[in-house]
Amino acid sequence: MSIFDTAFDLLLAASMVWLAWNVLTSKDLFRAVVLFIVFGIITSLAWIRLDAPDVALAEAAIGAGLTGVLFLDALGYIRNSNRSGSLIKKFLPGALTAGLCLVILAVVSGLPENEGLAALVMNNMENSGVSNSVTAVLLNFRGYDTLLEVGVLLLAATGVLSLRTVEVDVNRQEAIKHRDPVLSAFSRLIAPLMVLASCYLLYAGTYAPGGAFQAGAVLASSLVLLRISDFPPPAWIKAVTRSMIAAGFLIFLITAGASMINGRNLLQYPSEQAGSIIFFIETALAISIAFILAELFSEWKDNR
Amino acid sequence: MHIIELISGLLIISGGFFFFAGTIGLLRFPDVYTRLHALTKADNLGLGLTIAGLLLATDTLTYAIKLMLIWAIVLLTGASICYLTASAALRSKVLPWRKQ
Repeated sequence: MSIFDTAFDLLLAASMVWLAWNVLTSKDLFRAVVLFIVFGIITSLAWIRLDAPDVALAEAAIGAGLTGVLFLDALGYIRNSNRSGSLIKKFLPGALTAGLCLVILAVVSGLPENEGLAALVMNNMENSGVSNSVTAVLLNFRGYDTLLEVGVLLLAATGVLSLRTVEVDVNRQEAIKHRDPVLSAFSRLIAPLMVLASCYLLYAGTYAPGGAFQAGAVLASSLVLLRISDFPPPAWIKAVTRSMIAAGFLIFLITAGASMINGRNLLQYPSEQAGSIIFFIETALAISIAFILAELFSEWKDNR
Repeated sequence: MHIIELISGLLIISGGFFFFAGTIGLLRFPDVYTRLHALTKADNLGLGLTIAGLLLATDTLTYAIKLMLIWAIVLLTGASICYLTASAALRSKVLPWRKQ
C-alpha cells in the first residue's frame, strides 16, 4: 500500500462522510438529491477499492442511477422543496450514528480470527458451472437467497402498481408540444447501445464482473430513458410488462423446483448442465428486474 | 518504453488539469449557462486527454476500441444533456447573467 493509495482511500472516506452529512442536512432538497447521486458514485468507487467490482457495478447502476432518477421525479411533485433545519434535528442523529459507529468498530475488532469462506468457494468452483465466483455464490451455492430476493422485488412492484393512482396530468399536453428533437434523437441513439451493454453484462457475468442484477439495472435505465423522452409505446407493451414482471420469479421457481424431479433437493442443479441452467435463469431474471425497476419509476404513458 | 509511459502520464495529468478547471468553473461561474459551458469543456477535452493517455498504455486493440467508444458515448451524452439543461432553464425563464 503506497502513500498514494492510503491518501486516496482517506480522501474517499472523508468525502463519503461529508456527502452523507450534506445529503441529510442541506436545506435545499434538490441539492440533497444531487449530492445523493454523487454519494452513490463515490460509494461505487469505494467498492472498487475493496476489490468488489460486481457490487460497484450494481451500486453505480441502481444506487446512483435509478434511485437518483426516482428521487428527482418525486421532487417534481413536491411544492415546497425546502426544509427547516433546527440544531437538535441535525446534531442528535449525527451523535447517535457516530456512537453506533464506534460500538460497531469495537465489536468487529474484537471478533476472533476467521479466514472466511473464500477457500471453500474456490474449491467447489468447477462444480458450479461458471467461472465468476460471485455469480457462482449468487445463483448456485446461495441460490435460495437470490430466489427470495427476486420474490421481494416482485412484491415491491406489486405494491407500487396497486398504490399507483391514475394521474390526470394537465401539463402533459404542453410537454408533448415541447417534444425536443435532441432528446428524441439522443434516446434513439443511446437506448439500443444500453440494451447491447446489458446483454454484454449478462453474458460476461459468467466469467467476469457482471451478472443478472447489473444487466437488469442497465436495461431498466434504458426503459426509464424511453419513458422520459416521451417515446410512444407500442400497443402491446402493457400486457408484456405485467407478464415480464412476474416471469423472472416464476421461471426461477420452476427451474428450482424442476431439479427436485429426479430426487435432488431444491435448487440442486445437475453438475454438467449447471452453467446453462444458470445462464437461463440469469436471462429471465435480468429482463424481469429491468421491467420491475422501470415500473417503479412510472407506467407507460400513451402519448401520441 | 519509458518515453511512451512518460507521454501517457503527461496526457493524463493534462486531462486532470482540464477537469480541475471545469470544477472551478462550476463553483465560480455566475449562472447555469456559463457553468454548463465549463462542465462540457471538462467533459470533452479532459476525458479525451485522459483516454488518449490510457490508449498509450493498453495492450490489445479491443481495449483501445472500448476506450474510444467510452469517449464517444460520453461526448454524445454530455452534449445532449448540456443542450437539454440549457433549454429547460430557458423555458423556466432563467435569465442569462449580465455584467452589471
